[in-house]
Amino acid sequence: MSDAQHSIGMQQPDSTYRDFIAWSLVGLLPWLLYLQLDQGLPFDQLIFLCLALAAIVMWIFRLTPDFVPGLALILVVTLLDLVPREVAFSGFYSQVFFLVFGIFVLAALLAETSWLGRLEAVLVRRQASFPTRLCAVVCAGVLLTLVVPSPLGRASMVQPLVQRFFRKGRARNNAFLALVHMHGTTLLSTIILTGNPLNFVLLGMLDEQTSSRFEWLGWLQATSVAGMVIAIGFVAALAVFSIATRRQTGAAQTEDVPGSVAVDPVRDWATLGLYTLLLVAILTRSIHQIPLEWIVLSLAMTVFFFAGLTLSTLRQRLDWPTLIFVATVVAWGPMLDHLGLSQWLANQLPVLVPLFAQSLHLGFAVLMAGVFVIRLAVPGAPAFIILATALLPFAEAIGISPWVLGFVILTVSEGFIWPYQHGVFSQTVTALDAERTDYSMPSLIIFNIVFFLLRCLAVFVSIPFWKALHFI
Amino acid sequence: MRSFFAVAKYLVIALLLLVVARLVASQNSEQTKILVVHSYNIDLAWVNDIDGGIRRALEDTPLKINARTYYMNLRNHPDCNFYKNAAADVRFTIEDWQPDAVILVDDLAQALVGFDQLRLASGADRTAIANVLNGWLAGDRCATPDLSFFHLDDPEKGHIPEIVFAGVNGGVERYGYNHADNVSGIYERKNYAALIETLISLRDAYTGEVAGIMMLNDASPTGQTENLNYALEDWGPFEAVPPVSAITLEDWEAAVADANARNLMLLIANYQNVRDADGHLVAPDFLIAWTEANAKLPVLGVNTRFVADGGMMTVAIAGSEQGTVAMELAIASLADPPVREQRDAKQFLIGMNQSLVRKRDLELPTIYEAFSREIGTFVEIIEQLYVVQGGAGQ
Repeated sequence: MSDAQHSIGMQQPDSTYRDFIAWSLVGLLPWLLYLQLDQGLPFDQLIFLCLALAAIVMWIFRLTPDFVPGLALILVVTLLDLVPREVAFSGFYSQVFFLVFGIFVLAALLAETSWLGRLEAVLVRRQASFPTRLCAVVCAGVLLTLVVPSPLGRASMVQPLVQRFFRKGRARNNAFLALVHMHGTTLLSTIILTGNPLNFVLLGMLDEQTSSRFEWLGWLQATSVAGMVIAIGFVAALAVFSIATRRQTGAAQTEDVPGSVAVDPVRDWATLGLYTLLLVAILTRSIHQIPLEWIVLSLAMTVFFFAGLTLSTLRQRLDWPTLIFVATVVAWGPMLDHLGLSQWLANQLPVLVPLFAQSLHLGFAVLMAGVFVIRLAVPGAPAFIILATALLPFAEAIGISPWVLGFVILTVSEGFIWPYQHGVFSQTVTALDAERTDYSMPSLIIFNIVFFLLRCLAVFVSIPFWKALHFI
Repeated sequence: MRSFFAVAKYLVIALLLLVVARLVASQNSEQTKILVVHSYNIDLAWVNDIDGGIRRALEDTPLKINARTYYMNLRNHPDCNFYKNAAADVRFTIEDWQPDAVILVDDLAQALVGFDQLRLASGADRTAIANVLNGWLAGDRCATPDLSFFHLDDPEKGHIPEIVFAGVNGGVERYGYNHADNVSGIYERKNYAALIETLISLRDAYTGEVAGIMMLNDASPTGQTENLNYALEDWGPFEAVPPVSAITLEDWEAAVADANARNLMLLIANYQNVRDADGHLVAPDFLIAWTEANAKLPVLGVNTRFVADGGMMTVAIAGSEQGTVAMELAIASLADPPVREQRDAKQFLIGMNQSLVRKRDLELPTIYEAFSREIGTFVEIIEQLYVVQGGAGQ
């Protein structure tokens, strides 16, 4: 999840006034909600909704790191005895928590390897052509989506591969590179389970009998059509853009050979071996029947047994804030169930029921439009949590798989058009500006719109497939 | 020398990991996997009672059993498409997890899941059974679809688990179980002797005329099966008039008015799938409270939840027994050699709301009150009172 990382240390320098207003809203809006619903709901439910709203406002305005509002919420509901401690903190011993922890350890190990450095060295040594370089960036982005569950982390890892190709005065060419970089690392993030922490949050929000259907391969099967549409659309869009910018990209560049990469071949190959083991374990699950989270955790333990990661590296590389964030958020479903609020939330959207009953396509179109509008104001992670919390119980009401609704919300809310909407885009723009690189913002915006529509198209094309899989 | 120890250290670690992996693998291979599939969801007290019974059986067995539970939730979505999707989901779970035995609870799960997992005798006419099931599943919910719609045309060919049924009211011939050699289970056939005894007590306590009895149920598949079984039963000394399957609240109200006009005592078993004029499900507690308030003669429930939903009295099959026996049968079917039995329910529950009994001014045998005092839950106004009476055979 890009946003969780993005939020840390990204406070605007002159934000005192904004922060004051935002913190005031954290108190004011829940109070107004309390007054509004005072007579309609039991006290426990009402207080929980007010606290949840306060957390959501904190998320929307990025007042603290993302994990803080979630942790504060479960702390307060426990202190107020609204929800038993076992329910409030259930995220910390859920399967998802261990899955994310294990994946993060493996990703931390991968970040310590020199594979990308080696790739860059090869590209430079062979004076790789522009298309080859692009291909390498896309492939690295997609491959990393398999193993690094953070779009921002992936974008940072791939950054050196594109950095050398930015040229002064070639705004469209640079925009093209930036696009490849951004979307190569983000477009498939919801297609592969391990591509985004919010995927794990969705998995954690599903009940056990549903979530077991969507472990790694099951998830990939369910998203395969959407993935294909996005991949084909991505390649087609790149082809169109590359034709448009061909004249600018012709000249070969003389490049500096990158500084020597610190190489530890044992670590590199061992990491690759671990991922191979993981892949084999995923593919043979029907034989060994061991849940994915225990496999991943075992591999993570193996890393420590063989001294693959030192403590200082672990402190530096492991994304603890996102791990805590996931643990706090997956408890929302059980807490709502415990308080009897799931059904209340599902009943708050009566307008959606006839829409879905009339036509699934219409229902999804309205849903996606709603997600788009909310994403104009709300960052990706909070937007997903708000929408998933409100809408997953609703899936039950209309008799479709909650995963489908969750996936649609996730895929659309991970789309972005303007830099403020996504950490990867804002980081890219900040980096380009810092390097004083010319780039064409209108080109970026236009293609972002295209890719956003591509995500929506992928959902529509997937509907018959999901019907065939008996999800809807 | 130093590098030798470094390598040796890693070899020792690898060896330790292998030992642990071997331990885990052997633990996994020793486990018996049993999947419990409920037709409905935990919003039904019946389902929770059965789960309680299953847990008790699991605690009592020395075997290592890995049990998973799946709730098809069909009561809340009585439409063909949802039936189909839920069945496909269970099939996926069975294919993926490969349980050794599958316990199927209530009729719909037998049709949607059990029929697919049978080891049928060579002479069985599978297509004929499938056609009957297909029509039964479609009911008035949708036009009878192609056999492939509910996946009735393509039986499981790979791993076939042991099938254990529970909560089945009538026979299991409809599901082809009589032609299969991998089926055992426990019936939920009503304890008719106990029902008739209680009806006699109610008739004797009631001061007005009792012309007979009438069963009233919703139009769900289970409700219709109940009605069918009721029609086949000898209810002497009572005259049993034909049962009613109410689709709507209007049907239900008309049936109660009809029973009042004809001085019939109502028997009610299934009432969760009655819809109002807008097509919404009528809340069960509202329906039963309304029925209790508007029925002239005493109403007897045949459902564990009946008294909690506002009824006066119920005589129902114990869900916990269904769960316990189903799990015991599943374990027995996996023994070497396998033991496959079909048993009848032996335990039933009596529920009674004392305040409603008094409201109707009925003098019932003190045994009911004695039971409740025995377990120390007797209060003047009681919402829910169940007493287990063991060993009362059919």
